Amino acid sequence: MSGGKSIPARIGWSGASLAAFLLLWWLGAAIAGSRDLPGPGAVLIALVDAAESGEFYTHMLVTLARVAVSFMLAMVIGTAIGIVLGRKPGADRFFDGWLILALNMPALVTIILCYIWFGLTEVAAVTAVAINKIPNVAVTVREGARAVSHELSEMAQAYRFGRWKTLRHVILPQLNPFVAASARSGLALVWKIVLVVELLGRSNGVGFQLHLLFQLFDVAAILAYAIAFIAVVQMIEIFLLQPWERAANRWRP
Amino acid sequence: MSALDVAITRKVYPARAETREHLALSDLAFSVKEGETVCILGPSGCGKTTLLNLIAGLDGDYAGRITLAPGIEDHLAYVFQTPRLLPWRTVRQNIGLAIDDADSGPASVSDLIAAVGLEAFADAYPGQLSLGMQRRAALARAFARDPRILLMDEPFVSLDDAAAERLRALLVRILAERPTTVLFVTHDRREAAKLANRILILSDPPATLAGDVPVKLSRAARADPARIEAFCRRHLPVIMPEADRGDLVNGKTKP
Repeated sequence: MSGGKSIPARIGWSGASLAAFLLLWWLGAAIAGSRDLPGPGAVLIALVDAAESGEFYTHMLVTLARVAVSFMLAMVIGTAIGIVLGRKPGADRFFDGWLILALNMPALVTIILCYIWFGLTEVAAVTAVAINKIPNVAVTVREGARAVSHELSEMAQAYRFGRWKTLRHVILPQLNPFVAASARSGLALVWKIVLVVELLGRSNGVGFQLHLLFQLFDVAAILAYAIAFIAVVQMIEIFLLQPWERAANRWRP
Repeated sequence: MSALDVAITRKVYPARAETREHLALSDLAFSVKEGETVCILGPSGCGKTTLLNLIAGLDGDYAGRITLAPGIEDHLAYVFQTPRLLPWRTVRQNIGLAIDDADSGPASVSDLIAAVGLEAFADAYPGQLSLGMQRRAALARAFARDPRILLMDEPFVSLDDAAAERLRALLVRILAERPTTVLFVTHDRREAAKLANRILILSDPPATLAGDVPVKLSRAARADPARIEAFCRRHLPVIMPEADRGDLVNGKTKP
């Protein structure tokens, strides 16, 4: 966020930026004059057309559900792995190589392997997406876990907090900035991978729909779906992630 | 009956990248009776904090034996040299978290907050409080454990004299209402004489017992600086002044 600036000034700048983008898009489309590069108007019409059919919402919801489940899975498992690796230097040394392997595994390979091993199922799809994101979460959270305050851990031990109380009240609050960072980048990554998974092996969802539109070369509808989903992800960011982060940072003076 | 028996033969900090091996404690033995207020007096860096950490069970790596009387272990409270409050929890939550889940505890959080005079700041975060107020909150948290033994590690350092004096008075007042066994570490002779029934003097490292001085001063005498001064001159050797503090504390280099 651009701190310091007043809210009207910020809205003004965002508005100007958006207008410039739309203008550039419109100009490009006008010059190209092709069905392959529709202007903002054509995409808006395609969006309204799509929105009038019930199918659009079904596909959006299905994709959103897959994003939610695989995102949650990746965050929980990745955070758990990150905490263990950050706290136990032995485990970190041992598993570091595995983590590098996982980080560099192409998403497409994971997806194909999941489909081959588990079949073209919902579980395989969600697993493939989660596996793609888990290493990123683990690496980010590990950095935070390495820097956990020794003094506060001693306090928790002296006051007999026990494992869960320590995790909830002492460790996790310290990891919050790291979890938030990986949640933010994670959401963007996860929904992109979900589309690929849907394109390769599902018969519904935005990815599947894009596949059909690709065969029809309906670029306006493809862009309409993309914009609709970008809007949804932004809503999640603004109405879920940001309020959660604000609540978690309330204590900072 | 003794609340605590300490018989440590050796406590060594192994060599690290930037420090040599450090023998912190050697042949240190003493017992503390239930209800006693014992001050442990020694030069800075002599291993006082190490000793408290061993008693609290934070560090099991030593040779010897430390025995807490049955039942005391679950009612141990530790006031550290810095307040060590959770910055992301309010004063009320910090104190509440110290209460054992198993027994709801006779100490209600609100009573404790009132006892340390933080009613107006109960829902404030530690970062919004002065150091003195944070120390009060840490004191309240310690009593939330319904302590049968209270370990205190120079809990009033880095406060100005007046604030430290107010907190000492507060401690005495709370202890009168909630009596418990206290082990209070300090390098300040006057503080020790004001608070203790008994003063254990530790030597330079490796720390061993250099003196065991009973303190039989009346409440009035403890409030009189001249009599405290006289007691210190007669019974307590001058220990290393603050200015001579080495930077080696507990075998670790201080930042």
